[in-house]
Amino acid sequence: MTQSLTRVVISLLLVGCCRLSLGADTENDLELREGDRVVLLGGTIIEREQQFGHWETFLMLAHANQSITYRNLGWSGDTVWGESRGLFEPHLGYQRLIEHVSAANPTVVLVAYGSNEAFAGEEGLDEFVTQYAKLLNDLAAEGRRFILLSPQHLELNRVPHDPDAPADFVEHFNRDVDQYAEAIVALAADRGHGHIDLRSEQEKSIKQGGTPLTFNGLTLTDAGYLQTGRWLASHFSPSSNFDKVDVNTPAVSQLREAIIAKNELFFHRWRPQNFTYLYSFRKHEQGNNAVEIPQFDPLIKQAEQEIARLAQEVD
Amino acid sequence: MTRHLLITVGLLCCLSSLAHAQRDLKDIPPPDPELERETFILPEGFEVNLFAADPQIAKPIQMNFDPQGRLWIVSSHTYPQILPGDKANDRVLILEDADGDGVSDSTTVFADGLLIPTGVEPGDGGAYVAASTELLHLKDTDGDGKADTRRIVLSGFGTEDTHHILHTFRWGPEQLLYMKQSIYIHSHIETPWGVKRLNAGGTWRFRPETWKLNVFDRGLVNSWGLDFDDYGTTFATDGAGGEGINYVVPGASFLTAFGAARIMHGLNPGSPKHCGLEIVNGRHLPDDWQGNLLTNDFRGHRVCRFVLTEDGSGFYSQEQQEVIKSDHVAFRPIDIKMGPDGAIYIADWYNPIIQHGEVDFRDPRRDHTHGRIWRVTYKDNPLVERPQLVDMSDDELVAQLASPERWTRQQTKRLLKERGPDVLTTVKKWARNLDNSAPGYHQRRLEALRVYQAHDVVEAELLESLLTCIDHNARAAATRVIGDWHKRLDDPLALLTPRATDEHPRVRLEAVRALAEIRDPHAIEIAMRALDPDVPPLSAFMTPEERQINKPGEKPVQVDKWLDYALWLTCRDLQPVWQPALLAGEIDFGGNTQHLTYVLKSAGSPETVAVLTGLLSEGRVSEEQRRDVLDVITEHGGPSELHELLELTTSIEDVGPQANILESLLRAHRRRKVVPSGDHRPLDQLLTSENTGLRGLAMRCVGAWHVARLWPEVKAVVENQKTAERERGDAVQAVASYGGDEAVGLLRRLASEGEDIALRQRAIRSLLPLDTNAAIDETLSVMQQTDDVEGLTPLFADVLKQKPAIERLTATLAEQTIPADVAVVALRSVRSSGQQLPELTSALQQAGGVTSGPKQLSPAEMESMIDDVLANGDPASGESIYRRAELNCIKCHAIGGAGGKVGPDMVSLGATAQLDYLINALLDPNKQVKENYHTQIVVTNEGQTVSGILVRESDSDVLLRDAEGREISVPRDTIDERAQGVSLMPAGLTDKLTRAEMIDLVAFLKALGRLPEYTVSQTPMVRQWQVLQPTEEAAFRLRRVGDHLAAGDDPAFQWQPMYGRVDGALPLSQLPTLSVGDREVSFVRVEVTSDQSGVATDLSLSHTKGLTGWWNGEPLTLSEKVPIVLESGINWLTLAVSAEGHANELKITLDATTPEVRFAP
Repeated sequence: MTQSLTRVVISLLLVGCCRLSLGADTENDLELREGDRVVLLGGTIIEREQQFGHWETFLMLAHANQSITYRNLGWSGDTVWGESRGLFEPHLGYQRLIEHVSAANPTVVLVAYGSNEAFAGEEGLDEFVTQYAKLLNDLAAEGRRFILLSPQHLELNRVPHDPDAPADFVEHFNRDVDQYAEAIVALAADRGHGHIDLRSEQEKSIKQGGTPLTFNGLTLTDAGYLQTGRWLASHFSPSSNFDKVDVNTPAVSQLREAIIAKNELFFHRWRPQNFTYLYSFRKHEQGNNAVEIPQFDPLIKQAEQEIARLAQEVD
Repeated sequence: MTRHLLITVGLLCCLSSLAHAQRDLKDIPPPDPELERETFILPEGFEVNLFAADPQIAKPIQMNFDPQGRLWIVSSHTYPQILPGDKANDRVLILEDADGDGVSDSTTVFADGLLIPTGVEPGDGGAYVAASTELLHLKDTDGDGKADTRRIVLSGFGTEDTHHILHTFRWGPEQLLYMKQSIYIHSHIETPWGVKRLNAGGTWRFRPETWKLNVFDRGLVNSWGLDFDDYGTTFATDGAGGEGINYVVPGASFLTAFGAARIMHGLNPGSPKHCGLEIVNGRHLPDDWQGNLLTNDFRGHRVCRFVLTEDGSGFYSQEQQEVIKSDHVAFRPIDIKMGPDGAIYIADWYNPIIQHGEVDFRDPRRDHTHGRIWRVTYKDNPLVERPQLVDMSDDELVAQLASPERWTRQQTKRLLKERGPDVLTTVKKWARNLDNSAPGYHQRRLEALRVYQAHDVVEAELLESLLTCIDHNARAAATRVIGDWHKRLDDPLALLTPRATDEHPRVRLEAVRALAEIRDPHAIEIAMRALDPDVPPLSAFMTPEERQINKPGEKPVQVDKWLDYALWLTCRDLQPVWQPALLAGEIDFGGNTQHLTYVLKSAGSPETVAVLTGLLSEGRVSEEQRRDVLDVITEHGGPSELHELLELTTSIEDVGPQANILESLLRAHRRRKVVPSGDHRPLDQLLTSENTGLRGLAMRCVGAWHVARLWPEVKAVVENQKTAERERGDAVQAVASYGGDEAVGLLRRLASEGEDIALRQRAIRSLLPLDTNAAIDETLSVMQQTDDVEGLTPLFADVLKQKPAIERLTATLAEQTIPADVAVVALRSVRSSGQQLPELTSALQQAGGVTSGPKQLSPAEMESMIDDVLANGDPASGESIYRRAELNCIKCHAIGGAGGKVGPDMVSLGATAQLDYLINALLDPNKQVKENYHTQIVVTNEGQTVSGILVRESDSDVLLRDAEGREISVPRDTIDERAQGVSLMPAGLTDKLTRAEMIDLVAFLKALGRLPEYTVSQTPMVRQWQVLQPTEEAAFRLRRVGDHLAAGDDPAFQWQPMYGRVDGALPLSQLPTLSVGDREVSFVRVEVTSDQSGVATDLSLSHTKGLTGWWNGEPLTLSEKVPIVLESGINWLTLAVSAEGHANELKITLDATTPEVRFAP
C-alpha cells in the first residue's frame, strides 16, 4: 500500500512537472479553442455522460463565448481494442472505432480508456500501453489534439458486499488502476498530449466524506457526473471556481437539457437501433429505411444552434 | 382449368376463410375486441374475457404482476424504429383490478419517455425496465403512482434488432433477475466485478444489489419465453426457432449460440415459433392442467399447451389442444402469465403485421395503437381468493410459502426478499416446524431455501437435508444451489459426490453442472462417476425413515443425451483446471479408462491427444467411444499420433475399424495437412486387401501422403480398364492428390479418352485444380455428350468451387450450344451454390436457349394472381405439386419436422405469411430471406468456395448446411474470406409450373397451419417413412430369399426417406416398386423409439389392405389396432405393399398415453 501511495504521489508530481516543464504546449492541449469539435471516446463513463450532460455543460461554461461542439462516442465495455464495437464482426471492432472517430471529424479527442482494461491486472499492462499508443497513432490527423483521461478508482465504500469476492478485491483492483493510470500519464507525457487525472480529486472527496460519486463504486450517479464535471472543467480553466455554479438555475439547467436532447439525436444518428437491417447483412430487405438516418443531421444542427443560444444566456 | 371446376365449387366454403385471412393485405379488420373474442375457440369448460384493451393500453410487449396483484406492462408505439423528429415516448403502465371482477378498472402511466421498452419486472420499490441499451430501475418515491427516479442499473446492451433487444424479465425461484437477449444482439456490460460480454442470444442472471451478472445459457434464435417449475427446473421457448419447449441445462448452448462447439435441442422439433412461457398451476385450474407449459404461437393465432413427462435426465413434451385458437389476423398472443386470482392472463400485441425484417418499418398496415389483455378462466372451479400479501406480518407471509399457487409463493419470496434478511429467523422456524408427513414437504423446505438464496445467506443444514431427501426433484434443485454457494460451503465436493451417482439421472445432471463451478482438479473425477450405471445403496445418504420407505436403486442409470451433454460441457468448462493436473499426474480417475477417455475426447485438445492415442493402441477404448476418440485424434493428432493410428491397422482384423482409421487419417490430411510419420508400411498390406473399399482408401492415402514407393501400384489400377468403376474412381482421386506432371498427364488422358462418362467426370473433377483449362474443355464436351443429365450435378458443384474454373467455363460457353436440360441442371447448381454469378448464368441460358431467374410482378399482375389464388387455388392439388420430386420442395423444407432441414420449416407458414409475400418468395426467393437462412460463402486458403446455411460456429470450425442438406465443417484457420450469400432457394423454380399449378401451390402454402386439414396434428403419427429403393440387387435378393429379408438389416438394401402429406397420409401409389417374380411390390419401414424395454402400446393403421408386416424382423399380424411391445432404443415396423395396396393411402398413429414411445421426427 505504501508503495502504491508513493506511486500515486509520484504520478501526481509528474502531472505537475509536465504541466510546468512542458509549459505552453501542455497548457494549450488542455484548452479548447474556437471552432473545436470535441469527441468524447471511451466506455460506460463516456456513454452515460450523454444522458447526464454535466461534463459537456461545464466544458461549455469553461469556454464561454467560444463555438465548440461535442460528439459523444462512448460505448459501454469498450477498450483500446474497440472490443464493444465489432457487432457481427468482432474482429472489426477496432476498425469501426477508428471510423466512428473519423466520421465525427474532431479537432480534439478526449480519450477515456483503461478502466475495463485494468481488470487484466499487471499482466495486461504492456499490451494495453502498446495498443493505446497504436490507437493514438491511428487516430492522429492533421491538427488533431488528444487529451487522455485516466481511469478512476473503484469508490471504496460504495462497492457492494459480495460474500464470494476476495476481501481485498477493491484495494487490489485500485492498485491495478494506479498502474494503468500512471501508464497513461507517461504515454501522454511521452507523446505531448494533454492529460487529466481525476483520482486525486476523487480521493480527496472520499476522505472529506463528500457526496458519493457512484452507484456501485464504478458507475457515476448524477451527483458523480456533476462533481467530476466540475473537476474536469477546472483543469481547463484553473482560475474559475466551478463549485459556485448552481446547475439548478433555469439558464444552466435549460442548457444542460438542450445538450442532452442533442446527444440523444446524435445517438440515433451514429448508433441507430436495427443496425442489422439498416446497414448489415439484412440491408437488402429493409435497408431502404436507412434513408431516414441522415435526417437526424439537420435536427442535430438545429439542436446545436439552440445550445449556442442558451449558452449565451448563461453568460 | 377444367379439372378445377368441380373442386372450385367445393372449395367455396374454405375460400371464405382464405379471404378472411387475406383481408389484412388491404382491409384491416375492425378493432372491436368483441369481434376478436368471438373468433376464439377454447377447450371445453374454459372461457375468456377482456381484462383490458385500447385505448387504456396499446401494444403490450411484456407483462408481470407485482405482489399487490397489479399488472405491469411495457408498451411501445415507437417500435420498430424511432422516426427522425419524433420523441420516444413509450410507456410503462400499471393495470389494477381493484374490485376483483376480472376486468381492469384503472390504468396508471408509471413512466413514459422510453424508447422501445421490451421488458418489465416490478420489484425493489419500483420496476426494472429494459430500455434499448439499458436496464433501468424506475421508482416512485412520493407515492403518486408515477416514477420520479430513474436509475441506470446496467448499460451496453446491443440494439442491432429491436425485437431482439433485452427482454423477457422474470424473477427466478431464488429472486435473481433473469433477462434474455436474442441472436443479433451483442452486449458489453461494465460491472464493478469486470466487463461481462454476451454475443448473440442468451439468458442473463443478475443480482441487483451486488451487480453480480452472469450468463445462464446461450443461444436460441429469439427466445421470449422462460420459466421455472416448482423445483426451479428451467424451460424456454423460441420465437424464431422451431423446437417447441426447450429444457435448459444450466450453462447450455442452444441453436445459434455464439462459438458453441455443441448444442442442445428442444423437446418438440418441427414446432411453430413460440413467444412467452408460463408453467401454470393452482386450485382454479383442472387437475390435468397442473404443471402444464403454456406458450403462444403468435403467427398461428394460437395459445398452446404442452404436457411434460420425465424422460431420463430430461423430459418428453407433448402438445395438447390449444388454450385459444383463432383465425383473427390481428390476434397476436405474445406473453402469458398466471394472475393473483388463479386465472390465465394473455397479452395480445394486436397487429396484422408482425416482424420488421420482412415487412417495411413504415408499412402503413402496421398497428401502433391497439392491444389487449385477455383472461382465461375455468368454469367448474372457483377463482382463487387474491392473497393480500403486502399487509401480512412476517409470520403470515412466510406461511404463504406453502401456497398451492406458485404465483403466491413467488410473490411471497419477492416480499420476503425486500423485507430484508431479518425474515430468515421466521423462515427457519417455519421450515423446522413443517409437517414432514404432509405431501409437498420437501418442496416447501425448498421454498425456504430459496429465501436464503434470495438473501445470499448460506444455510448448510437445510441444504444438506434437501440433498438427501426422498424427492428427486428437490434433490436436483438443492444440487444446483451447491454450485452457487460452493465458495462458502465447508466441503462442496463431498456434498456433490453422492449426487453424481444419484439414482435419478437428473440429479446426476445437476451435480455434473454444479461441479463445473468448482475449480478443483478433483471436480472432474467426481463428475465422471455419473457415467457409471450403478446406483449406490440409497441408505448411504438417507435419513432412517426414508431408508424404510425407499428401496435401493434397482435399475442402472443410462447416460442419455442430456446427461451426456452436461458431462461434455463440464469437461470443457473445467479443462483449464484438470488438464494441467492430469498431465502433471495429480489426478488419474482412479485408473478408470472409460472416465479418462470420456474426458479426453470431450476436451479434444492437442495436449491430451497423445494419452488418448496410447489408450487406443493398448486396446483400452470401448467400442462405443472408439469413433469419438478417432475424431479427436483426427482433429488434434500430430505426425507421431497419426503414425500410431496407422500402425494400429496391422493389429486389428476387422475391415470396418481399419476403414475407420484410414478415413480418419485422410480427414486429418484434408483438414490440417498432417501426414503420419514413418514410411507408412501398413499401406503395403492394405493395398492387397480383398475388400475393394479398403483398397480404395489405401490408394487415396498413397496419393495424399505422396508415397512414391507405392505410386506404381496406384498407376496400375488406373490404367487397368478391367478394374471395377468404384475402385478406379478411388484411384483417380489418389492420382490427383499425388500430383506432378505424370499424374496430370494421366488425368488428362482419362478425362478425354473414350472412357465411360462417369469415370471421365471423376477425372475431370480431379483435374480441375491441376489444369483448369483442360478440365473445362472436357467439361463442355461431357455437357454436350452425356445422356445422364442429373449425373452432372457433382461435376458442376466442383466447377463452382473454383473461381478460375467458373471464369473459364463462362468464356468457353460463348458461341457454344448445350442441351437445354443440361443448362437447367447447371443453373440449378449455380443457385444451390448460393453464389451470385450473373455472367455464368447468362452464358448458360444463352448456350442452352433457356430463360430462368427471378421474376417480378407488376402491382396489377400481383393483384390478379392473388385474386386467382382466392378464386381458384386448390390446396390439395397444390400439395401434390409441392411433393413433386423435380421441384425439390421437400428436399429442403420440412412441414412440422417432416422434410429437409435446408430451408425454414413451413408448419405455420399460411397462418403468418401474406399472399403477396408467398408469391414473391416463390418468384424471387432473395427478395426476403428468413432469419438464419442466408448462405454464408466461405473461400478457403486453397481457393475452394464452400457455401451453405450457417448451422453453427465454434472456436475452431464453421459448420454449414448445403443445398443437399449435408453438413460441412470448415476449419476456421483455413478460411480466407467470408461473405453473406443469397438464399439457397433456387429462383426460376416456378418456370416448371403452369399458371394454374402456381396458383394451387400458393393456395397450399397459404393453407399451412391455417386450415385444419393442412395443420400438423398433435397426435403422434408417422411423418417420416423409409422406402426401399428399387435396385437390381435388392430385387434379386428378394427373389432369392423372400420378402422377409426387407425386415432384416441386409446391407445391399438402400432406404431413402419419404414424407407423408401434411395430414400424415402416405400415398402408397407414389412408392417405387420392385419386380419380385411376377409381383410389383414396395417396401416401407418406420422407426419407433422407446426409452424403456417392455413398453406395450398400440399402433393404429388407417387400413391394412394389401399390406404384410414385420415387427423387429418378426412377422406381425396386421389389423387396424396392432398391439406391439417395444425394446429399448430403435424398433422397426416394416411393411410390404402389394399391387392391391398401392391404390390406398396409409396413416399410422400411436397411442399417445405412452410418452416414452415415439416415431422418428
